[in-house]
Amino acid sequence: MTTRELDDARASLLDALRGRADPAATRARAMVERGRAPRVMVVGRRGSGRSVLLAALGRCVEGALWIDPRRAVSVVEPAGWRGADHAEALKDGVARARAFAPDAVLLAIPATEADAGVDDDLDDAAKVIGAIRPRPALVVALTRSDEAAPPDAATPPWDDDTRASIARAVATAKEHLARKKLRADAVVPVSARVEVSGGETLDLRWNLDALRAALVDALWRRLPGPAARAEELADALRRAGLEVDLSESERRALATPWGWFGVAT
Amino acid sequence: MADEPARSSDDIDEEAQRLQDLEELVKRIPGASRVVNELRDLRELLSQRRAPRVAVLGRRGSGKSSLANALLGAEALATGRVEDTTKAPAWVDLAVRGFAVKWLDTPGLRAGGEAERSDAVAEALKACRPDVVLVCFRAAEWRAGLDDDLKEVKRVLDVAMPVKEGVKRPVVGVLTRVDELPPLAERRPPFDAPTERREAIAAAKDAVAAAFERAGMGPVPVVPVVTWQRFVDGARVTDWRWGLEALAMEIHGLLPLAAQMEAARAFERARAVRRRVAMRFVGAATSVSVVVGATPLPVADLALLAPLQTVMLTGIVYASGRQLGPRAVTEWLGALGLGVGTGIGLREVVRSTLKLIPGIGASLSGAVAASGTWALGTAAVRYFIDGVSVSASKRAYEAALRGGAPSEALDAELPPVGDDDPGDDGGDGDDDA
Repeated sequence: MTTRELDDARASLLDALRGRADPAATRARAMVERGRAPRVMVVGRRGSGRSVLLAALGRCVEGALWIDPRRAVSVVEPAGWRGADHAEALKDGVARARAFAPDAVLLAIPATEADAGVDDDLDDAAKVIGAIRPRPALVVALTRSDEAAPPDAATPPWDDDTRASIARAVATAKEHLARKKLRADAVVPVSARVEVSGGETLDLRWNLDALRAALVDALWRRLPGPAARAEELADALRRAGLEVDLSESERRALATPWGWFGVAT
Repeated sequence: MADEPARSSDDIDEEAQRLQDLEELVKRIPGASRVVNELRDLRELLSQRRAPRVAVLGRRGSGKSSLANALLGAEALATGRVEDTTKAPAWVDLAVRGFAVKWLDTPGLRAGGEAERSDAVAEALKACRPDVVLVCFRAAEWRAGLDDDLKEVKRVLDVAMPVKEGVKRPVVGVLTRVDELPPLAERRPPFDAPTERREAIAAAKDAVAAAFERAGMGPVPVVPVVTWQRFVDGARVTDWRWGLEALAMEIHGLLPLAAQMEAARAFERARAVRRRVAMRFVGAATSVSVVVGATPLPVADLALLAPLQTVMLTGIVYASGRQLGPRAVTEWLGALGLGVGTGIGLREVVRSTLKLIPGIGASLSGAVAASGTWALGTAAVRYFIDGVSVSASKRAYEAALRGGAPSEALDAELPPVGDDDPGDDGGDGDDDA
C-alpha cells in the first residue's frame, strides 16, 4: 500500500465513522486519526530560504512533502518574519501554529547571519512554539551555507576555510539557542539552491541528507508510544460495525501513529 | 607618465598662501564677490587638508571591513565571512599608497551582547564626529531585518550625532554583496548586466530607501556595490569590485571641503571624484579670469593670472593623486607648445611657461584670458586625471581655445577630445594594472 492508498483508506474509514458519537466509533476514530502524517511547520525570516529548502528536501506538493518516496510529511509555511509587515506575519504564524499543531518546527536561519539578528528570529520561533500543544520538536537549518564560501569559489565541496566558517556558524547558532533557552533537536548547516541558466546548471546542494535524517529522527523520537497494534485497530473497527478488508501490514500501517511515516510500499 | 622624486606638499602649502594674496587683490575688483568666495573655497581645499573621517555601521557579515578595502583598493582591514573580525569599535588610520582615511569600523549590529557594543559605538562616534556615516545592508538580506537594523542605527546616531537644525545627517546606505542576488550562475562583473539581477538590485535599493524613510532618517542615497577582492601574499589576484566609483561620489559629495582633496587622492576607483575636485579648480580659475580680464586695473594681468593658473595646475596635479615631480608638468606644458622651463619647484616651472599662454603678457580681454585658463585647465584634467595621451590633451587644449570658455565655467562639462582617448574605458583603468 502506498502512502496515497493509505491516505484514501484512512479517509474512507473516517467518512464511515463521521457523525457517530457512540464509544466504539469514537475509539476507532481516535486510532485512525493517530495514524496520520507527521506535521512540520517551516518558519524563518524573509529571504532565509525556506521555500528553496523545502523544494530541495523532497517533492513538495500542496502542503505535503515527500522527503523520500516512502516518507511523507504534511507541511505548512507561513509568511516570513522581519519584513515591513513583521507584526502581522508573526501573528499569522502563531495562529497557524495553533491550528496546525505541528509535530516539529523547522527553523531556517541563513548560516552567514548566525550572529546577525538571530536573537530576534529565536524570539519569534519561541512565540510560535509556545502556541503549540504538545510541545513540538525544533530542528534548525542553517541555510545558504554556500555564502560562507568566497564568491568566486562558491560551489561544493567547500574548502577548509569555508567548512571552518560553517562550523563556527553552527557553534554560534547553538550559543544563541542556549542563551534563549531553546532546546533544538538538531542544528544542521545546508545549502539548497539549484539554478538552471542558459543550459548550465549551478548546483549548490549540500548536506541535505543530514537535514532529512535529523528531521526524521526528531519526528520519530516524538512518537507517543509503542508501535502498531494492528489487532487492536481491527477489533475497534469490528466493534464499530465496520468490516474492512485490510491485510496485516495495512492494518499495522493504519494503526501506527504517523502511519504514513516509513510505511512500506 | 613617469613618476619622479616625490614632490613635497610644500608646493601645495605655498599655493594656499598665494591664494590668500590673490583673494586680497581680487577683492578690490568691483563685482567680484562670487569669485572671491570661490577662491576662499579653493584655499580651504588646499590648506585645511585632512583625512576624511568615515564611520561604517551594519549587521555582521554586511561587508563593512571589505568596504574599506574596496574603496582604498588594498588589504587594509582583516575580513571574515561569518566570524566577528571587528571586536570593538575603534578609529583607525588606514594608510595606503601614502594616502590616509580615518575609518571607524564597528562590530556587527544586533550581534551577541548587543547593548554594550552599541554604547561603545556611540562613544567612538562622539569622541570623533565622522564626516560621513555609511550604513551597510547585505543585498541578499533585503527582505528581512531592515527595520530592526535601522532602529539600532538611529538609536546610536541620535545619541552620538544629534541632528542640528536644518543640517541633514551625512548618511549613505550601501547595498553590499549584490553578487549574491540571482542569477548565481552569472556571477561576475558587471553585476547589473543580467536583467534579473538588475531588477533585484533595484528592488533591494527601493526596500532599503523605504526602510530609511520608515525609520525617520530619509531620504538617504543607497548605492549597490560588490567589494570582493582576493589577495594572496599581499597581491590582488581577484577583483570583482563594482559600484565603488558611484559610492565614492556619494561619499565625496557629503564631505566638508577640508576632507575632499585627501578623499579624492585616497579612493582608488574614484576618477570621477578626482575630476570633480580638479574641475573645481578649473571652474574657479576661469571665473576669476573672466572678472580679471574685464577689469581695467593695472595689476590685473600677470600679477593675477599667472599665479591663478599656477594654483589651478598645482591643484589638478595634486588631486590626481599621482606622485609627480615638476618634470612631468614641464614636459606636458612643452608638448602643448608652451615652452619648456627648468626650475626646482612645480610652481616655478609653471610660472615660467605660462607667459606663453594667450592672454598673458599681452593686452587682455576678459574672453581671451578666460579661454586661455579654461583651455589649459581642461587639457590638464584630461591628461593628469583621465590619463589621455599628450597629443589628445593637446587637441583638447586647442579645441577649448577655439571654443572659448563657457559662460558658467564653474558648472561646465569637459569639452570632448580626440580619437585616441583611453578615458572612455569606463573610468576605472588607471590604478588597476
